[in-house]
Parts: sequence; structure tokens; C-alpha cells
Amino acid sequence: MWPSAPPASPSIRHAPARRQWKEAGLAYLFLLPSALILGAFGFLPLLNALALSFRDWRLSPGGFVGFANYTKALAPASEFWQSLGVTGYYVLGTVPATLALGYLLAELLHSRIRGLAFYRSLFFLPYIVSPVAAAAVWRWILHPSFGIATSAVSPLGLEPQWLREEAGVFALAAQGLHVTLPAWAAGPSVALVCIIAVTIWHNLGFAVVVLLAGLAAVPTDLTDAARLDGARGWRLMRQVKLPLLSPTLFFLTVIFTIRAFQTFTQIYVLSIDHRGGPAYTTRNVTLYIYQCFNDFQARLGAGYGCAVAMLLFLIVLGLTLLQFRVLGSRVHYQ
Amino acid sequence: MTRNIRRPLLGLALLIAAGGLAGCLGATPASSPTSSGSTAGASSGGKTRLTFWHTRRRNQEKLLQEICADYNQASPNVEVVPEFQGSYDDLNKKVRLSVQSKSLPALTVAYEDQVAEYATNNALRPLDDLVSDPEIGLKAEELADLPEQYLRTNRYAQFKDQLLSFPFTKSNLVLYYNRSLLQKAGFSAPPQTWPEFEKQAAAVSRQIGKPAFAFDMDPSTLDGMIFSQGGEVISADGAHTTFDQSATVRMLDLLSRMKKAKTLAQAEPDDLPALFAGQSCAFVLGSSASRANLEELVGTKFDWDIAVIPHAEGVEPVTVMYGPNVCIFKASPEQEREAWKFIKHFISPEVTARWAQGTGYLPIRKSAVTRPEMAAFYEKNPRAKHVYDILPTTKGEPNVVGWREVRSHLQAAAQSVIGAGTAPQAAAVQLKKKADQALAQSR
Amino acid sequence: MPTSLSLRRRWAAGLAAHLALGVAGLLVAFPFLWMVLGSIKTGEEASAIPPALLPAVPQWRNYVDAWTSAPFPSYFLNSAVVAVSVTVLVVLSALLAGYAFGLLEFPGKSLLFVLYLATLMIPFEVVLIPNFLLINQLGWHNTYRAMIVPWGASAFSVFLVTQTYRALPRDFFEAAQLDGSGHWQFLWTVAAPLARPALATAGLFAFLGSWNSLLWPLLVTQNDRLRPIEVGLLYFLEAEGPRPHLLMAASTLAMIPILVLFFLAQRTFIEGVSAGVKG
Repeated sequence: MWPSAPPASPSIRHAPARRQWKEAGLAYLFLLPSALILGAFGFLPLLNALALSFRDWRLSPGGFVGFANYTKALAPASEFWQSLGVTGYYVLGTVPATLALGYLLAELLHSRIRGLAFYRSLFFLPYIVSPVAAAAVWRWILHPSFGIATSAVSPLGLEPQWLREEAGVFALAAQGLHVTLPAWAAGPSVALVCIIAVTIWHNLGFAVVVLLAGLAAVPTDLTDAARLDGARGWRLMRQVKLPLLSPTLFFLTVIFTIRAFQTFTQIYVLSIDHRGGPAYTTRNVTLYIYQCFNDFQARLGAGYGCAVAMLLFLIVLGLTLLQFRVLGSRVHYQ
Repeated sequence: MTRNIRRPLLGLALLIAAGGLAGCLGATPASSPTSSGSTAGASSGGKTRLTFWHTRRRNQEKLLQEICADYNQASPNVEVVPEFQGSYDDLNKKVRLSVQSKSLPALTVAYEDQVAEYATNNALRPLDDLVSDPEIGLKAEELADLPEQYLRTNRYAQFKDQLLSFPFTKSNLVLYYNRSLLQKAGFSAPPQTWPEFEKQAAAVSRQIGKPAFAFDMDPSTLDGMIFSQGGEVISADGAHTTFDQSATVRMLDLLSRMKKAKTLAQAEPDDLPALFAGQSCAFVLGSSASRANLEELVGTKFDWDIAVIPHAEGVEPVTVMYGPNVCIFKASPEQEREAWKFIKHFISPEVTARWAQGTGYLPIRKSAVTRPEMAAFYEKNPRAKHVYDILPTTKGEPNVVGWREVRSHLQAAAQSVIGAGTAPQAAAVQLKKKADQALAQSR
Repeated sequence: MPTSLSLRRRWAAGLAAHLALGVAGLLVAFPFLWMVLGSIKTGEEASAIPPALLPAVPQWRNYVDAWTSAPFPSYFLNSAVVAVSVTVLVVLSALLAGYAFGLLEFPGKSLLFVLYLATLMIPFEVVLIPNFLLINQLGWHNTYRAMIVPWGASAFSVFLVTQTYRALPRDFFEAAQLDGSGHWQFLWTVAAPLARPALATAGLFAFLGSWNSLLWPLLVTQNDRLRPIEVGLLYFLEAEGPRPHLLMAASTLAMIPILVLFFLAQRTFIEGVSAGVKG
């Protein structure tokens, strides 16, 4: 499943040199459109971002400032760390839950033929519809005054602020038990948890479809054999299905993690003021970069934004490599 | 896909793709002669084209378009093109991006703090010489016809007191109150002072079972509340804020008390009309620009009116101005002059009266009120007249660079007092610290 | 031989599964249902506390109201033009590049392939700012070009096509004696049709990605003439906050094109996702 270098084409190596050159020329020609675009809008800006990160660039270009942008970003308790924390909660909140729920639903659907196509399509819908429209609907559902979610829980005596609530969920839970937690342990804000829930709703269908395909590919003779050996339920899952599904699960983990680090639209629309939400508890790194460039904090500027972006790039790269090493080694390929 | 859907679908796709690739190659299917969108003032065929960025939608946008169309007809060598740019926040972001991409419009609406920001980037065309121009400027009596606080707020002390923007459309911060609910609770008049306000809010809250005061923590509203407590928000020299003084503390205290007493509920600005019209609250502090919308929403369901916002005892009634100004970006002298001429046209008594009637904003000219159509309008809309009567009490907010950030700190302070229960005194001190830092950093 | 006990247990398990699926399905579908219900309520019903579940009388004119409050025809047209153009570009460039990687031999092939895949690792926020500055320098600000060209190639699509060609047996090509010009004909008459599933998947997801994108068009468009539906809906959401019934109508309208596309091309979507993974 993971890309390896393409195999040698049907061999022309023994062909006359002129034909080899013609073929190479044709190949470069064929590569030209995609290479131009990917180069100009993929690699070139990456290098540019690196160069810009060492400059001070507000509304007009400034001068070279060395590592100043990086030191500002990495200063203790800086806005960057805060946004990274938000991103971290977001990733931890969405990825495992989506995978677990996706697997559960895929298992449920796997054995039932009737209604499979219907449910699969239904779960897939949130993934493809207009993200702004979906976020607008969720904003309304989670409205503290007019939302149906609010009316649903108000009989319990709650007055949730949902997307406007900055208090951390752990702190709130602890409050219910008359315990006060230190500030750092407050956890993701209720607003962020709401956004996490919406993201899970959005990504679930993709996971279900992929895992369904994975489950369908699990050879039945293996599961039958295991069943004959007495394996049921949990054991069957752990010892047979999960290892066979591990490439799929690994793929989904990496994809979802990378995507979670890049989320913009949902965070932007669901952040109640489009600025990072209550007390900036829904401002992830992507939104922060956008702000550096564009929002009223033009005091930060594009150069600083590029520095933050480079830091994010390194983190994602490192995390992906880590995932490949730690999880990748446990993937069972057939 | 079945075969008989596939072919026409493919044909349609190819058609659109052809259009798109044509777009790729440069010819956008636009009615404008310029190919790359809205560059401000291309003079094509002798006509000066002025793009005018605004935030109006629906019938207000239509009215604006009509006014521009009428002006274009009367001035054959100019074409004013209004373009919608989202909310004031969105528009502000767009301007910033356009400074970078060198595609600024000719004119845009902007609040004072945004104007100050544009000025620091040297993008604005100061207006003094245009206003005093013998040919196209305003005569002395015309200038006197403008409420002087409108003009004053458009002079920027940090930029040598130049007039960098001009009043475009104005409104006031007012108190909307549900007279029916007040009467049921035994009150015949709206509260004049803050203590009265607290009392009335408590009584009505008891009656309707919900907090009577829906509050959106808009920074301008907060400024107005501080003014009404007899205080200021900034020092005379504009160097630092005065949020640690008693007026701010009393304001935060009031918010804190009312929240604890459950007579205040937090809401977003968008929620206020629906909450008020649905009688889920009885008091709203908001811009008078919402009046027209409320008239529509409430209809005849209950009796309501507009009053000046409460004030501290011993303090004269005072409130804050809402409504943006308009500013001109640097361009060719010809374009700048034409842009100013349009502004002058827009604030002429006739046009400002037309705008005021159609939108519910205040007329910019004092003489507009005496025009027969305005008199008739006020006859039919007494609440609009109440809004106009409040005008003399309005005061402008600071227009120094960095005030945008101060506003967000102010809002955060109110939020922490209401939401997290922070002590008002502590919040005020914190606020002053952060605000002063913001001002210092922006200089 | 299954005992009656295990039969009953299996039946109960089946019922529980159906129940669980039903609940999950309802939860997933709920926002859509609530959106449509909200779109036909009056403003009062939509903003009532607690909200009315069903409208007393369906207000279909909300759709007319929403449609006329903002230039929706322009928004949809722009999205269509941009998305179709992006799709065409992505499919074509992926076909050509996949052919090169899958069937041709040339120096630097492995390195180039790795570089192509490496672009998948570049988060878009890193290139956002420089790309915006580049667009300005090219003078492409507020044009269709700016929304189309940067997205005209997709390494993932190239990968899909390459894998298709890789999976074919070798002698298939050796049978056709190829010299230089023969490749072009071979590409269009034989190779392209073979890659149709991969190209269909690539095309669908390129279309979807373009149609649903927000940030990039938000940055590069400057007026309603060029704004696509996502940006238009965002502004609508900000302007019509106090009128949720109209907002729900507009949201429904915004979802319709993709829903139609999905129901027409369901199988391609689902198979594309499933197969793309197995590659």
C-alpha cells in the first residue's frame, strides 16, 4: 500500500541510445505540467516560506531579523505554544475516536448485506458536503439560546454555552465533584470539544468506507480457521482481524493526523468569532498562521507567520516519521 | 452513471471547462473592461472607475447601488462601482491583503481604528485640502451643517490632526426596552440611571423567568457604558488608557452583579434581535441601526421604544457613536478628486436623507432633518425620531493606532468578569496593563 | 449444528447491531434533517425558545428569500467553473505524469517520483503565505486563474495512475512495438481508458476539494463576481446570523450540487476511496 519507487518500465535499456533519449524526452514532456505546478506552488513556496521566516514582514516588507521570529514563537507561554496545545487536544480528540467508532460501525456493517450500501452512503455524506454549510448548521444546533442541543439538556438544569464556553472540560467535571484542578490540567475547552465532535461526525464516514474495504479484504478462511479454534469476539478481533487490518488502520491514522494538523475551515467557521473562539481556546496553529498574516494582529506579520508554519511543518514531519517507526513496525503486511 | 446521463453531463462539463480554461488564459466573464478584477481606478475610455468597498447587504445594498447608479448617470465621466466585502472585519482583512497585492479600491468604509491602521501604512489620501478646495470642497456653512463630533472623530491627532476620513453613515448606542414587559412589572418609564436599571431588570427577570438584560459585550457598547459612568477610556494625550479608574471598575462591577443576580445573560450580537423580538429579554444595548430590523421582527406583538442609555447619578446622559466613515486611498489625483466628489454627493442633505430613510441610520446633515421627506418619515417612525434626539449626547471613541487591540482586551475583560467571575477591580487593572502595552507596541 | 440458544443469541446480536446502526445513522443524519426543517420554518419558529420541532406551515419562500439576498447564481457558477477546470487539469496532468512514471524509462525517475510524493507532506499552511505573495506578483489577484492553477496538479492523483499502470502485466506493452510517436497514440487509445477508474477517482476528489475549499478563494477573490459558493456562504452566515431560517435555506442550497453529484456517482466515490487505499 505504501508507495515504493516505480518499477523499471518494460525494458528499453537494450534499445538503441537514440530511442532511449526520445523516450526520456517524452517522459519529461509528460511530466512538465504537473511538475511545473507542483514545483511552483509546492516546493518553491516551501523554500520561500523558509526565507521569509527570517524576515520581518508586516504590511510592507521589512528586513532580515535572523532567528527573532523563531525565538518569539518558542518563548515560554507564547501564543504559538497555546495554539499548539489546542492543536494537540484536537488531534488527540479526533483521531483515536474516529478510528474506534469507524471500526465499530464497519464491523457492524460488515456482516449485514441488507442496508449496507444505504448506511455506508449515509455515513459518507458529512465528508463531502459543503463544510461551511455543515458548520453553519452545527453552529445553530449548538446555539446557547436557540439551539436544539441546548433545549435537549436544559431539563437537566444545564445552561451550556457550547461554542462560547472557554472553561476546560476536565475543570468543569472536577467542579462537579467539588475539586479544583490547576490551570494547566483544565483540558480542552467545551468549545474545542464541540468542534472535535463535529470533526468526528465529518470524518467518520471516510473511516467507515475505508475500514469496510479493509474488512472485506480480510480473507475469510483465516477468520473461519480462528473461529474453529475457539476464538470469539474480542480475541478474534485482537488476534486475527486487527493485525490484518493494521495496514488500513495505519494508513488512516497517518492521514487523519496530518489532516488534523491542517484543519482550517471547520475551526474558522465554528470558532464563535472566527478569531480563535472564547479566550483563543479554539485557535489551532493553522488559524494562528492565518491571523499572523491577516487578522488584526498585523503586529505579528507574515514573516513570523512563516516561522510558525515552518515549526508546524517540522512537527508534522517528525510526528509522521515517528508514526512510521513506532506504529509502522507493528503493521502486519501479508 | 447510466449512459444517457453521461453524455449531456460530459457536454456540460466540457462547456464549463472551456469557460474555465478561458478564465485561466485571462478573459474573465466580467462586465468590466479590466481583466484582473477590481483594480481601483482604471480609466477606460475616459471614464474614471471608482470601486467602493462596503458591508451592506439586501435592501441596504440595493439602495446603495441605486444611489451610485443615479450618481453615475448624472456624472458621465465617472463610474462608481460598489462592491460587497462581508463584515467590517472581513473588509478590514481584505484591505490589508490588498495593500500587499496593490489592488486597493478607490474608497472604502472603515471605522476610526481601521483608518488609523491604514494611515500607518501610508495608504490614505488626507482630505483637508479636498474639503477646503474652492471648487469641489465644502463651504463654511456646509461644514457647520455637520454635527461637530462627527468631524472631530475623523481627525487623527497621531497624524498631525489631519482629516483622514469622512463621516459616512452614523448611528447611536441606545437602550431598547420592552415597554409592555416594563409596564407589567410596574414601571411606567425606562430607567434613567444605572441603579434604576438594575432594579427594573431584577423585577422583569423575576416576571419572565429569564435574565431581562441580554448583553453582547461589544467593545463600543462597553466604551459607551464607561462614558455613562462619567469616565474616560483614554488619557488626554492619547498615550495610555484609563481603564483602572473608577468608571471602568463600576461598569465591570455592574456587569458582575447582574450576572450573579441572573438578571444579565450573555449573547452574541446576532442573537439580540431574536431575543428581544421573542420577549426573552426586555433590555438590549445596541446600535440604533438595528431599529429598522426590530420594527420588522416585532411588528405589533408588543410595545417597545428607544431611550438614551442609563447613566450614573450626577452624570449627564452620554452615549457612544456607531457607524463607519469613508476614506480614500492614494491613487491618481484625478481619481482622488472624483472619489471626494462622490463623498460630497453622498453627504449632501438630499442623499443623506434618502439614505437615512431607507436604512434607519442617522442623516449626516442637520439640515436634512428639516426636509419634508424626513419630517414625514419621523412622523411615521417616532422611534427613529427618538434616536435622532439622542444625537447631541453622543461621543466618539479614541481613534489612535492600536485601539483595535485595546478593544479586544476590553471585551476579554468583560468576558472574564461575566464568564469566569473575575473580580472587577483585578480585571480592570489587568485590562489597563494589556491595553497600554498594545498602545505602546503600535506606536 | 447451531443450537437454539446460539441461534437466539445471534438473533439478539443482530437486533442489537441494527439498533446501534440505526442510532448512529440517526445521529449522523440529524444535522441534515434539522437543517431542512429549519429552512422551512418562519423566523419566529426558528428562534423560539425552546425551538419548534416542526414548522406549522412550510415556508418554501425562505428559499426564494435566501436566493435573492445574495448573488447565489454567481457563486455557484464560479464554483462550477473553478472546480471543473481544476478537475480537467488534475486529470490530464495525472494521466501524463502517471504514464511517464508507470511506463516510460528516464534518468532521475526514482528521485522525481519521491519528490512528487514528498509534496503530499507539505502542509498547505506552510505554502499559504508565499503562494499568496506569488499570485500577487504574477498579477493574478482576483482572477479565475488564481483559484485554478495552483491546484491543477495532485501528487496523489499521479500516484493513483502510476499504480494502475504498475499493476498491469509487462508483456502487455512489449507486445506493442513502441517507438517515439507511438507512445502518444498508445496513451490515448489504450492507456487512458485503462486508467479510467483511477482517473475517475482522482477527478472526483479534485472536484470535491476545489468545490469545498474556503481559505484560498477567500484570500484571492475580491468581489462577488468571482466568489465561489463557500466564500459566499461564509459571508451569508455572517450577515444572516439573526435569520437562521434563511441561513438554513442557503445552506441547503449550497449542499444540493454535491449531493446530486454524489447520488449520480456514488459507486465511483466509494470505490475510489476503497481502492485508492488498497493501492
